[in-house]
Amino acid sequence: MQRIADAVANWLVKKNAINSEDSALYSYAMFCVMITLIPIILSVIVGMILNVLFESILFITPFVLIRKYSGGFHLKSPNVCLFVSIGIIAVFILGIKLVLQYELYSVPLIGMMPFGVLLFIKSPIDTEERKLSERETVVFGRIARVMVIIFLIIVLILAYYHIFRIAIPISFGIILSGALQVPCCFIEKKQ
Amino acid sequence: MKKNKTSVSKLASSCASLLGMTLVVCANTASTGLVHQPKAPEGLKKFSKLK
Repeated sequence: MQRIADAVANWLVKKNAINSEDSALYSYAMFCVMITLIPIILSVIVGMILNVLFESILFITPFVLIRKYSGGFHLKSPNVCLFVSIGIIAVFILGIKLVLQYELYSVPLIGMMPFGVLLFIKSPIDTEERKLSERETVVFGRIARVMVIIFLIIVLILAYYHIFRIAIPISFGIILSGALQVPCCFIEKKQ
Repeated sequence: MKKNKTSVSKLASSCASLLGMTLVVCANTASTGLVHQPKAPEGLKKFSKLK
């Protein structure tokens, strides 16, 4: 992935679209584009395979939106990350399918609550690779909390009206965003 | 041939503006969407609206 990102940046320099000193910046941008598109494409593929495409899009949208501001656990290697992401996304979409199929609605609806609280308390979590300033911590934390509240309210309203086909995937998105903050809590405790 | 060259440079400048927008998004969010976070370059700060 890094090689593709570097190749695109070099091509832009060659075509005089950017300055050579901005090459690293644009390579980083290309890398970010790929890393953001991967979970979306993965969930579309897994959703199509499992015949829950609509639900998988509803799951990945709140996840990516919340995670962008809440931060959380990150793996060092992009390749390991790719395999782990494929596994996590597949398991969660399979979970959505099973919950809808066997009408186990209360499991994710109750399960999303502690993760919602965790997101509310802990967001944003920064990393060595992307250190946040004090102001960024305040603003991103506020945005993450507002998003979590909005999604929780949407899920509860939809569940109240028995529109589980939309409510359950969104609740899974909240659960995954929160679950990826759990390892950070343990790492923090260890330090 | 000349037309081809123009469309390639147009494509390059469109790519550059798209990646420029990505840099603004990256600078104004806490993390990437996946379980990997690449090291943010120093120059990213100039795209941040939260200085």
